[in-house]
Amino acid sequence: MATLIIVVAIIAIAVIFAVVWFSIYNNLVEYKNELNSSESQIGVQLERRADLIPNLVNTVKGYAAHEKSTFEEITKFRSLVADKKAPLEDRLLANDEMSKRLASVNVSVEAYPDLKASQNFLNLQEELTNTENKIAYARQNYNKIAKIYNTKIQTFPNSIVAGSKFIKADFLEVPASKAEVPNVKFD
Amino acid sequence: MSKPLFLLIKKNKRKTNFLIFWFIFLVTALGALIGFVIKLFTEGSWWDMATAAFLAMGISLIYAFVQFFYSRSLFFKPDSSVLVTEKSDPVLYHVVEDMAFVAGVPMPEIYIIDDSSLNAFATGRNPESAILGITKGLREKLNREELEGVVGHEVGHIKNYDIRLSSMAVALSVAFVGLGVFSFRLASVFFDSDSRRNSKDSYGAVFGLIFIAIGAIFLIIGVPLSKILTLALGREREFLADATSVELTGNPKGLSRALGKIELDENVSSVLAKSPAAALCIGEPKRKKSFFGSWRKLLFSSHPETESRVERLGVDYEEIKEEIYVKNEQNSPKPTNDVNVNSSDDVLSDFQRLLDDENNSSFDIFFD
Repeated sequence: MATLIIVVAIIAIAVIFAVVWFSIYNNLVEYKNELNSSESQIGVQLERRADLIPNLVNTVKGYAAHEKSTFEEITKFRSLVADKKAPLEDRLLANDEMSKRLASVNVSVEAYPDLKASQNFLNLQEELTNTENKIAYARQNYNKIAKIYNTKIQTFPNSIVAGSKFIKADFLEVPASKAEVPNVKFD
Repeated sequence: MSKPLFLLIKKNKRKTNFLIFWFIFLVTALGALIGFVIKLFTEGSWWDMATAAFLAMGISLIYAFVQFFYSRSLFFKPDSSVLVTEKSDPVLYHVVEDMAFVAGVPMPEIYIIDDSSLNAFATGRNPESAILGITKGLREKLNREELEGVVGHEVGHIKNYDIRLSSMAVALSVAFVGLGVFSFRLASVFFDSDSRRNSKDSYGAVFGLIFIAIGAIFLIIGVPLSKILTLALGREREFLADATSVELTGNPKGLSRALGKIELDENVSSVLAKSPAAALCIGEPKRKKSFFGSWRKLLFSSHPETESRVERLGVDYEEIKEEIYVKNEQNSPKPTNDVNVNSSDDVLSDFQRLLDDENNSSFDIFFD
């Protein structure tokens, strides 16, 4: 009789332990998925931005022939931004560099009123600004979720369940200030 | 932020429920009173009184229900507001999209209000049904950064369910004042019928007087009620929404400049000032200067001073003002005469600040 009680007790404890363990595990998986989806949101915006560039280059090329080397650089960075296999950090870095070049191109085409009046060009400008902002906000969102996720996997008892399966997420570096992000706009 | 978001949401929902309860209670009580008076004069039974009370309860229930689920009809008139789509105004649409994304709320519907003054407001019962209204003037005079600040502020109200409480508060106090006016109209109908029939034993004049009295009761309760509501809704909520906005955009200057522009702009509001939406706006809608206007400002002002709002964001208001003035001068070389500056206004605003400070804390007990 006594042995039966002990066996039942051990089984009960094991079951409780397993339930707690798996519920924590599942919870962590949820956070991990959330983190992954916020990461892929950045990727989506980077792609959208990369898709805009050839169109923009074609539109302004004729007006800024002297910026030939800048265009080449932009194209080079663009291919890195569009590269889905490259690490996200590198793609973001390439995007920042590309934005700087775009800003300088914009300064040099500023003198052309017919270009500035073209609806096609204005739409492109807005789309560029939009994707730039969306990338910045998606980055901010990722960092916010990464912080929650990191706290989650580092605190007890989650830390035991997390073990080596859940790795601490790195923050994505946000440009020093939003003002530093080149403002691709005319007014 | 002093309180976690979920507590704020809970508090706002609770306050809204309180508000609806008191509204129905008051209207029912007044219905019973009308019934009682009718009983007195027609020598009817107590059933007359009960019927009147139940009728009043039913009407107030239906009104509260309709306003809860469809408050937009009160705030957005189809002839003065236009729906914004991504195609019709990509910049504004994208700004709202961004702010909703960072705040983690669904994309609200956006309407442009045909009003040349600078203002914005949000309404709805929850983030899923939220609607954002932005005046034409605001859309035209603010740049992208400033727009982000204003939209972030409104999204802040949406996120913590401020919109539910404030929309209901406005809808219910509008009903109260409306019922008062309706009673006066009813009274005049009775007086009319009395003079036409010209019979000695008709109750027309008596009923007329009764309805004037009832109308007066509605107005006597309703007008201070809306004052209390706007005060209870004011200040802290605005500061909090400002803080949320800066948290979302990471750019205190954008919102500060927007607030400065809203304050310094001289366009008088044509649509919003007359609309119930006035109580929901980010800045006090500007009305034509008049004696009555300044009293109204004293009585119904719900918003904290722009200066203290900007200073709370850690930005120097004087600097912002200078930036805006310099920009204005660049755009229009002829400096306009500053008709708006008058000293009595300063005295008023000081007095009002005093009032606000004293009332703000004590008015909360009306809800808790």
